[in-house]
Amino acid sequence: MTTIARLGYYTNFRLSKIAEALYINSAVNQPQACTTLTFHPNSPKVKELSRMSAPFADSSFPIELTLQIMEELPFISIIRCLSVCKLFQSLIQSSTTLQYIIALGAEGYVDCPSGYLTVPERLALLERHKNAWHSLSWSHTKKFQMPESGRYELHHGVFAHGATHGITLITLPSRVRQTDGMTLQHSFEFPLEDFTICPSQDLLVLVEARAPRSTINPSPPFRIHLRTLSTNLPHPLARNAMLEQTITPYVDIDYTLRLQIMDHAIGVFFKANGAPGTSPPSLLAVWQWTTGFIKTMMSFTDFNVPDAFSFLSADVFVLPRFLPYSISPGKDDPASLHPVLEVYSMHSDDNHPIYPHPIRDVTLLLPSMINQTRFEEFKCLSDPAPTWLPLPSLGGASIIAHGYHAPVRLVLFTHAATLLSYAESLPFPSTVPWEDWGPLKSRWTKGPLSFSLYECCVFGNRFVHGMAKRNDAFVGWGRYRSLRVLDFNRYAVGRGVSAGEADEDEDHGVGVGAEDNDLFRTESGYSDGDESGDAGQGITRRVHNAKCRTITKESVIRKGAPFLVDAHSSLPYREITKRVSHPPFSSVTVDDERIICYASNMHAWIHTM
Amino acid sequence: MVNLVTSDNESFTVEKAVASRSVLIKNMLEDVGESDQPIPLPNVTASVLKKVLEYCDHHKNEPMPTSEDLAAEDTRKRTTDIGEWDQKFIQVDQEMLFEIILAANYLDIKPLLDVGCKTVANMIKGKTPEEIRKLFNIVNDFTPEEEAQIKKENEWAEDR
Repeated sequence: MTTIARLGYYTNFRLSKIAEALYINSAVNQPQACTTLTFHPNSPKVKELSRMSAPFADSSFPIELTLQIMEELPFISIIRCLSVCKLFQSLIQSSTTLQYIIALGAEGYVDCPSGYLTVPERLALLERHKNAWHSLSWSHTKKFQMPESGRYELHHGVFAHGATHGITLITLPSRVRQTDGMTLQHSFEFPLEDFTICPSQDLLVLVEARAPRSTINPSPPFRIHLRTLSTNLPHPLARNAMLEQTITPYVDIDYTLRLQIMDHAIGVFFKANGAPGTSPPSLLAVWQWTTGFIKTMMSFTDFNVPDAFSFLSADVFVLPRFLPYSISPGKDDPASLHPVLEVYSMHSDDNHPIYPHPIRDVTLLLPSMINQTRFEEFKCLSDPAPTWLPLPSLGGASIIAHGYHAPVRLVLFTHAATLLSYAESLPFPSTVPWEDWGPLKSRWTKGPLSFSLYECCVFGNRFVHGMAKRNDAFVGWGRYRSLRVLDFNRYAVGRGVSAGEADEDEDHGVGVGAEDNDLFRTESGYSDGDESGDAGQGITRRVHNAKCRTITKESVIRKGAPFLVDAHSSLPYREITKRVSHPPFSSVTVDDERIICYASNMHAWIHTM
Repeated sequence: MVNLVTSDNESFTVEKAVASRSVLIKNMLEDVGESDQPIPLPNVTASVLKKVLEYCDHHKNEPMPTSEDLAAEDTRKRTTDIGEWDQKFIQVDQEMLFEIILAANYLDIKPLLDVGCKTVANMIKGKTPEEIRKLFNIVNDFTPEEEAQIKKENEWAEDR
């Protein structure tokens, strides 16, 4: 029996099949089987067989073909092949292409066709890029004087500043994309209410300020113009270069707009700023911008209007809301409040009704809260990080952050992919209790001082905000002196663990405020995240003046405000904090290559990785 | 018509358009010009050539990939899937699959080589190292210590 096993072990596939057959048949003692057994692995006949069937880990199989096969593999499989045999290991370790595929995968990037860089150059660029983010060791910082006022945005290397009748687009120089800096200015024939851009689609979305009501036009619409970033002309891929949206009944009131682009979907959330009880409805509208089809319309009366929406994909979005009291699990307990994340699917083009209300796929419950909790904000942020050359981010791997204000500033992080997977796998409509998803797939942390626009920023798997010392006042033109980056890319976390940054101490039952780096409010006012204190969790390492730690263990927010129960969570992340060498700043934006810090005197510092 | 002779001395007579899917044969034909001389293929057996010719025959009317296509392919190939017919065609035992890959490489039939490599890659996807070894009957030549070390180094890539 052992002989048979050894034979199969030494020889190729075909022979092992014979050996297998023999093993089964040996009990009945077949004579033919015994003759096969006389083959010795080193006999010429076996060698010939071995060459014939060419198992591809054999040295007879051309190396370039094995490499070609491996280049077809996703990076996880390549990594697994490393431990298959020594031949595979040495092939993978010496192939720049395979190393590049692994490095891209680990960073959550996918490669795109780009003719200019060779694979070794890309790999070198990626390694540098990765190391720069790993310890916030940006390669240079450039001071920049911002235009006086207006709105600004940073998307994939394009800084856009919008004023009332025009926009300035600055393409920042990039080593990753091999582009030089460039400035474009466009002016518009209408007053601008808000805008957003998507450089990867050369798309400029402009929302025209609503015209005043008149006798001729008693209910003027919002107008949304679809143009190209490069020319300011109607976008050639848009069937209608202007979308119109009327909100009825017309009330002369300000709307706060939130715009988001995800592939071919453009979402605009018109949030009415009216006083409760008298406010006109708020409206979420999503268009397929190329065809002009409305994918979704959802209106909200002034009770239970969400603060924000976020795309999870071009067909799915999430809303942070509260369960109506009548269907709450704790409706016997009027002191409880039930925040949820509602995940909705939208209609595809082919078959959409006139009023395409989205379908609620799944409702994910968050821990129940004390009803006295005052919510200043409950919103979600995400940046899908669409593809870009040559190091685009992986769509769908982005994080969603949900901000809670009172009495502590808490942020919940979860991967967009997690929410999407529930929407896809569960029969709709489903409700998932917090205990079934949250503790394992999300993480609560203390949040930034403010969750408002530009105070914190999400790009792909990174969340960035400013930090102040405990006693820092608003000095000069800003109060933040440090940057805090939370990286939820699981592979970045894994590398942190390998680097010995992971938490090792046993007690991780941290109560509110135990994470000293976080910003939270105390009885006496703000306690703005003490930079100097040591970490409650994780082993903090200093790399290039940055403090790095990796948090993999479960953390607990003890019951008491705001939660009715202990809230456990364990999604691993890596935290990097770094003090900036320039004057204090007040807000921040981020893309895949840089962090920009802004001070309120319109000075900005661009830190490029 | 072109006459091909395999390593085991079987001869196949096929249309020029079919045989020319192989860049090797196409170049040979261009070099020798019009000739009835049989073309010897010492690295291919009859059973494999029969299979390869089946592929060539099915694809004979498609345009040959140009050099630009090949240059652009590097970045594109990972996203393209195997066509329906090709998928059925390549459902062969493992030994034949590797023989087809070797023959496609020798005969220089790039699209067939791609189909073969992608098929093997699909067999590897989602499998553990142990499953991969078992599938291809690969000998684990690491010591237990070496294996543990590699596992440890790559723990970050595994599902938690």
